[in-house]
Amino acid sequence: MKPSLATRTPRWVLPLVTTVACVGLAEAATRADNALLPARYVPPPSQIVAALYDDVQTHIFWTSVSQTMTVWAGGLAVAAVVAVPLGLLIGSSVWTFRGTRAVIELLRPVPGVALLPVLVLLVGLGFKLILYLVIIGSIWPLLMQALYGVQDIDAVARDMVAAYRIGPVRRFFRLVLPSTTPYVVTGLRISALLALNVAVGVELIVGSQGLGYQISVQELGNDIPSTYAYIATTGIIGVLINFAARRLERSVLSWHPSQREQVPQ
Amino acid sequence: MTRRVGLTLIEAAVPVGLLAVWWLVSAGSTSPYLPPLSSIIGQFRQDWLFSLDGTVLLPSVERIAAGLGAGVILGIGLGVILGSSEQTRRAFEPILEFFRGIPTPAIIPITLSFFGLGNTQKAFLIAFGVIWPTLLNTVEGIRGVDPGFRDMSRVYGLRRMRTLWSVTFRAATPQIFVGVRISVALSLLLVVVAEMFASHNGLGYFIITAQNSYEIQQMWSGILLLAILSYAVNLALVIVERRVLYWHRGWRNSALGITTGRRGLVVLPALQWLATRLRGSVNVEGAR
Repeated sequence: MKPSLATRTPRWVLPLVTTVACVGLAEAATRADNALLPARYVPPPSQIVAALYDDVQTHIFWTSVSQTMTVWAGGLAVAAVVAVPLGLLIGSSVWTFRGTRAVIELLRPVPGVALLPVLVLLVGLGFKLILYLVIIGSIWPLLMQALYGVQDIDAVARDMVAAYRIGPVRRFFRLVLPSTTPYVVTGLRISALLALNVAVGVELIVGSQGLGYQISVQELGNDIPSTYAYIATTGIIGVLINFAARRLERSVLSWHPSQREQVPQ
Repeated sequence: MTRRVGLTLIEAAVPVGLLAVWWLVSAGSTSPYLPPLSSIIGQFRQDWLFSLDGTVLLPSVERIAAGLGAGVILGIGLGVILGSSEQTRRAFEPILEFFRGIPTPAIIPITLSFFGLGNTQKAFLIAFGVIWPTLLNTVEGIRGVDPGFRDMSRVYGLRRMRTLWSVTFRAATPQIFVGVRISVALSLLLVVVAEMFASHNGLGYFIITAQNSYEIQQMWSGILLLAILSYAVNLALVIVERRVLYWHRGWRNSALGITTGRRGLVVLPALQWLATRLRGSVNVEGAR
């Protein structure tokens, strides 16, 4: 059978063409005299890119990016350091699991931002406030995934470790850690994007620092292209975080069955 | 049997114990920001239980319902389309990845200039936020369906729409619910952030104005109501999930060897719901 057009062109052509077409369409829809979307509300992509080009040359842009990224990374790191051992501990015994289950299920759905007003009163409006809220916001997926992971350890492997009387240290590194890593890394990926959401959201409300604050500053200054440029920046950061998380998932789990087999298509 | 009774007891005792500790420790609290639990509950009764105020809870519930409903339905619909065609999915992948990457609170200022600060703006924001996790998980779910199912449907002569609905979509629901679960959590976060940033009613607005005017007990009673709302929304999700996913392996097998069979003592029926929920999520989320 002769290869069709679709199989002869390189894989990247189709996404590229579609993306360019969509951007072009957005440009046309906002640029025309009688535009579908007035540029006052939605600037053409070319204007957003131009604004972004101007913004990246300013000092405030990089300060904001580094503020948001610092609070994001710090919060996520603390959440992981607290949640993962806690999840492993709770999940490793039916007594701790049942003892904490009701409390976890009651607290988990509550968005951490609910505590913003309390923390404002306790720690003020600065970096610490955002950090704490990012920690609270990103702790649950990590905790739950660690908990699920340790519960999902293969029963045969667990019995074998017991039968061979393998010590607790080796048991942890050879059995518990490899079994739970897939779950924890997935939790990390969910938490990473959640943490970015919380960071930007709190920066927006509190208005003291970071990209969220800059977005509202640009909007209040009526610089709409620049507002979109800052939003696009957060989007690019989100894409990078997600990309890095997926790479990590793949590299940590190269041995795991879920990674070996590509989704059939 | 004693083991089972012990487990049920500890499950009920820990939350009650924690509440008691909070009650006792905060009883003599003189810190203006951390009032005694008894006075928070007193305020809560005064604020909510006897005067159901239509400007606090109701707007938030409406916004979550509208935004979550629209976003999830759109996300699943588009996800089925993109998941069924490899070409379409690859074509739109870069754009979808970009939109998914945007932290939704970032677009709040823009939605304000479009829709003002009423229900539409908040519902739109929630819908915009939840559409991406739902969509991407639906796509993954549809793509991950065992090709054998499709071949079998063809052998049995099922029509295309019938195959899509009864076989492909059904097989993808566990993965779709992973997305919906993320969406529900996100919708609660977004409604609170949006109402705290700019609103003239709703629960987030109530909490932040109470704080701004140093009505600390009111602030805490608002937070308590938000916690109850979040719990209720999640419970609704569990009920839907249980109906839809009753056939899934994850609902029948449990971690820690607790079977779904009859339980000895039913101390707190609500906790039994949660038990099923926690067990169900094990395999569903593990499948990612």
